Amino acid sequence: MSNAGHPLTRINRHWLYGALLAIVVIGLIVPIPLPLAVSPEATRFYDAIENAPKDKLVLVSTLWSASTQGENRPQTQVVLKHLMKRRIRFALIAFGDAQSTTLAQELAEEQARIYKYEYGKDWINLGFRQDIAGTLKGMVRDINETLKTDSVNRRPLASYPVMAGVRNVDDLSVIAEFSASGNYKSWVGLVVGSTDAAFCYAPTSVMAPELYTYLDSGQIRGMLFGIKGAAEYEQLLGEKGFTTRAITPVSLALVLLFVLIGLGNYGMYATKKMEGNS
Amino acid sequence: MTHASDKWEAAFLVALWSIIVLVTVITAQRGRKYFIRRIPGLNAIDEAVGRATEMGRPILMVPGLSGLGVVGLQALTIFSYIIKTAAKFGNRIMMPVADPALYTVAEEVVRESYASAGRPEDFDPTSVYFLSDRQFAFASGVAGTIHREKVAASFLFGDFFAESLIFAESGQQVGAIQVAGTVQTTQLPFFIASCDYTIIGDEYYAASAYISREPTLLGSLVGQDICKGMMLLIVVLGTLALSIKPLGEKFFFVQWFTIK
Amino acid sequence: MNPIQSFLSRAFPALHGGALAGAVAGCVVACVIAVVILQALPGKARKAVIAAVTFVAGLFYALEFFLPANAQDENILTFAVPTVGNVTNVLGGMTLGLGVLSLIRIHGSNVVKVKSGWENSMLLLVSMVVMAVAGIWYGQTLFYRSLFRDVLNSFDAAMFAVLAFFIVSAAYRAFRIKSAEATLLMVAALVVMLGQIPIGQYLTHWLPVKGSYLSLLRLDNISNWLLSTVNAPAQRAIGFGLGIGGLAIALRIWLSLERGAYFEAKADES
Repeated sequence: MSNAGHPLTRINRHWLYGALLAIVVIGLIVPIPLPLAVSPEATRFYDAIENAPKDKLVLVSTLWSASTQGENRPQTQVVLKHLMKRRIRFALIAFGDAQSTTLAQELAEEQARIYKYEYGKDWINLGFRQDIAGTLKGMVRDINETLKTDSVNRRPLASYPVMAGVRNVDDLSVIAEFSASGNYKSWVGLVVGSTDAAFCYAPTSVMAPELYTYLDSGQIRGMLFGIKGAAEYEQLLGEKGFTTRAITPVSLALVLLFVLIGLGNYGMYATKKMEGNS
Repeated sequence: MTHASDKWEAAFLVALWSIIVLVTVITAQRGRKYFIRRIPGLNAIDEAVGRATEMGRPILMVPGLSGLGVVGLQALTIFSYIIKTAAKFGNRIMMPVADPALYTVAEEVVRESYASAGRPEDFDPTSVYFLSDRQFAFASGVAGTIHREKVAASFLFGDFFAESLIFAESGQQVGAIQVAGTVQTTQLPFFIASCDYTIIGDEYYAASAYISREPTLLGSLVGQDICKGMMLLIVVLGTLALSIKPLGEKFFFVQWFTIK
Repeated sequence: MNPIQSFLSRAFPALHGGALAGAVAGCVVACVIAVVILQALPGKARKAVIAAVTFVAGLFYALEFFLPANAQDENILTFAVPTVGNVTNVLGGMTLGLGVLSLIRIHGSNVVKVKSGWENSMLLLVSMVVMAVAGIWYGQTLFYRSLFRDVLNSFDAAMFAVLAFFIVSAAYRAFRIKSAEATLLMVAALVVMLGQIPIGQYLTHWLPVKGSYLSLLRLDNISNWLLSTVNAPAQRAIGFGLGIGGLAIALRIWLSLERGAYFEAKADES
């Protein structure tokens, strides 16, 4: 970095990193109890699950790995909680990253123990599939024929009570995808038009802005905007867990960002002034 | 929508646009001249290669997480041009790849680029290498390469996701001149913040035509513009129809383009 | 069962046991022979073969999409979609082996020639072997779970977390108000970010949530409006361009109209 200009334009990046680290740690230890406004997208996601009929299956699709678990895990967790509270049957499926099926399975098992959900009767894991388009096309026609067995016991899907009455995507009430990727295009292109099931999406914060087009058209019913969306969902569920607490460091980090942008700009103007005077 | 019969109108548009692109490609191949506007980011390629030559440091090309699809192949087309330019000046190049299928094609493209630049002996088989198909393992590998090799120029073209800023900031830290382009709109702000030049939106697909001035590609580009014009017309007509109360959602034109 | 499906079922009945193993072995041999023949062909002939295979592969999906479907959303080719998908998966799996070979070639050479940083190459090769062995033979053990959960997961999460630090330094360095447009962007970004967090929302929490014009001034409402009314059309416009661009390049690849890349040079040599 050049030595010219106002000192505020030359703050060493390691100081910035240190400030961020300190703020995140403080935010996690000392949460600020401020209410969070719930967005219309999160409300629609919640309503889709809340109004889902109990006799229909909900499909929970995951495409996230350990890297984005900070956002995608709480999103998946709150929705699984909601499903289990309402005693709605659900099936897990994973795409894109083989890690996502393991992580989703662990999370579902953890919640199933709390809500006494029985594998095979109340929920099932349809496993990981590499080929998204081919699998979705197949599921539009016949889920059992396309996926054949579950990923836990490798038994035919039709042998599980949870899959009773499920032939294709038309027999689902909600499709909820939790994703670190732009997988929604495959769902919207191949599945959404073929079923009355509400399609809801939970992306990472950085992906969220590009989904408003599809929210606007109604092709995506509801959305959870990163971890903030998960906190909103938790609020709708009437709970205050880790997700709600995690909003404090996010807020403080953004405040730090504003401050740094302000300092950088002040430094730029001060430099211009210095150059004008000299 | 899995079949054309789910919405014939939409399928008809896809077919019509395909025909338009093919017709403009054929007319261009038969000698019709087409104009293409200036794309500053692509003009910067020669500048970046020149700078790498002066500094005597390598040029890095990253196709991101692209697989063997249109995005990845387009990235390789752009890289092919960069390699041909670099080969003339004897620059060292590096191309880490995340997708094993793309890796096999990338190796072949690099070899052929050296051959068509008249320097087949300069091709180094270790310059194209598979790193990892895991997003952040790949990201850490590329970031490590940028810091260790202190690359002079970094070209980021392809599918990028959360790792985009890791590449761009690492390049910025070592003072590399950076040109980036991606079809992932959510990553554009990161590239704009950290790179010297960024190719935005469908400029990415125009890049190969711009660089090569190949009639087929120029014709295709003109075809794309005609299709975009049609799309714009549909949007305007649809907006008007929806805004006029007696027409509304039931209007046949709106119904044509409404997918459940 | 449609005529194509019944023909294929008769021509290629399901095999089991030794017959299946023989068929797999036969396929492997046939593939090796095909690759050898392809390599031996002159450039122009090879290009023609590649163009023909590309065309047929693309034609399958094009026909499957355009042929009318029945009430079950199936046409004469739909039955083959899962099989073709499996073929794609298998091809993808095979290329992973080539990727691993590339890693071994480059890092193995570093170790053997004791090049600078050979220790890192050694660590990479050892890690690769340990993880593969653990995953294949000890999948259900604590050993594998620990490598997966405690090592891989932690590294993945740490790399993603690094982004936060980079965002801070990039925003500080690059987000400068140098023009009217930049000012507008800055104000929009501030409003959207403030509208997303409780601290920002608190600034206008005293305004009514809805039902009054004053509610339009709440930061969370302005943020939502910017995202859904200003951001969405821009995303849509870029999406249109990208979609049509993707269609055009897909057509060029499918019909092998793309010149100057992908094996073109070899064809020209001969």
